[in-house]
Amino acid sequence: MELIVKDLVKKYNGVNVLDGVSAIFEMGYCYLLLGQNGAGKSTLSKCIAGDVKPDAGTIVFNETSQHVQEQVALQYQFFSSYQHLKIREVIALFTTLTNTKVDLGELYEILGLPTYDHILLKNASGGQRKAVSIYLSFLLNKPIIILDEPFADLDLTKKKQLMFYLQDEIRRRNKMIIIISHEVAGLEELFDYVVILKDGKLIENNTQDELYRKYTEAKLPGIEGLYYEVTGQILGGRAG
Amino acid sequence: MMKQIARIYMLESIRNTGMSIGNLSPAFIFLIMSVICKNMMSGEAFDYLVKGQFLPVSILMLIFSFAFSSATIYLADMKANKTFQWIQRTGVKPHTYYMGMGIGVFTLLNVFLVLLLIGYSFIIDISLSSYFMIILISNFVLLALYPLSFILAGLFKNEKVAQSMLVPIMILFMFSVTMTTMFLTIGGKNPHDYYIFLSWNPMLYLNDSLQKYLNLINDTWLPQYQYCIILAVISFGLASIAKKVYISK
Repeated sequence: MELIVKDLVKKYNGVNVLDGVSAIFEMGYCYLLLGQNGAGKSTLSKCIAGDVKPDAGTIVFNETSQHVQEQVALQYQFFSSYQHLKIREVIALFTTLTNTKVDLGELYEILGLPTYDHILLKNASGGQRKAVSIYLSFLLNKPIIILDEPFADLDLTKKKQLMFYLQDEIRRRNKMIIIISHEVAGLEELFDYVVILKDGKLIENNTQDELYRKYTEAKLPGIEGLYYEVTGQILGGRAG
Repeated sequence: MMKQIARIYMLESIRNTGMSIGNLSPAFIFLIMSVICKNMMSGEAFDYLVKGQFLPVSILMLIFSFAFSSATIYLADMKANKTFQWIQRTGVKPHTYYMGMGIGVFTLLNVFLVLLLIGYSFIIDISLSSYFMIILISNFVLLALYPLSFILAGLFKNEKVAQSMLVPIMILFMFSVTMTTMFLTIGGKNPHDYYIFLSWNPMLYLNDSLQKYLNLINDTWLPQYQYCIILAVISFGLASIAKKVYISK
């Protein structure tokens, strides 16, 4: 099974945010989506998730373009719904709504939810809201999961734990995970493919090994170096 | 599942203290005013004031603010913070959520309506059957207004816009009935002759029914069962529009 994005175009106020993006994403792999603010990462994610309708192009999953969005769980940067519910009540609600039997106890622990699941969402910090958002994305139990800056508010140990968890999810449950992240240091082994967008165009979509072979003159180590070689820009700053 | 959705709606509505107080206070202020007036007035004038003005306005306000407007704001908020996208991905059917939240809205309305009527029962004399009929027609009016809250929430960008827009909508719904009735009565005309022009407004049926149950008029404009049918038809009509609004979004 694969997700095929072909000639995707999306314009906002006459500006091409996505300018003919084409890519193939396969199940059982983790994709790192890179690009500066405004490169089109979020728009591409929203198009795949069905939140945004592209002006042109097609998105096909499992050989059909019908109901692709139903196969995708998109983790928005923050979870701001149900402000007057406790975090555990929100999770209980979604567990009922999804009617899922999937065991997410490990993820619950990694995200530190047991320590603050009794607080109301309106009192939760940005990091806590993000944790809820990540947890719910997995609770939806979709084959394709898109995560937006999942590592941003985690300490180093938690980052590693989440990385191992994601690797396990991909291998064991044959998921496809697309991650938008500016934090890649120490997490390189998670990403099977690196996808780079610049000015709405997809300029790279390859395995890390392929990219290292292609860009031998990288001045910086790791994915940051590859990114610099491809785009001439330094990876970092705020999420787009 | 519907039970869980209803529980969540009620929990959020009650925990949102500011909103609860804001929505409940208009209805209960009129009850307090009635108590104050009871100590200053007596006889027919007091009865007419409470039955003709305070109690009907209390119920109109309760339905409008607590059930209709808070549901609209709640839904507009859900739309603004992408809750609908989350819910859509759970695979839950839209009508399941619609019904579940509806159970919550109706439960809350009935709880506070009963409390309000118990409060008024210490001030004025109304038969038990009238109380039941008031509760029944109030539920039918809410049945007609409930899908409208989904339509409005679909049209407004967020809860702040919804909050501002609900004021003129409330004025239109409430005062188009009460003011028309009052001015026509003062002018010596029968308001029932003009009700056809207000038949789009669910509050008309509530106001007219209340007048009857509170013994201020002998007969309603149309028979009561027809009011219930009209309100149910309005509800189904608006529910199908609400469905279209959400599909198009």
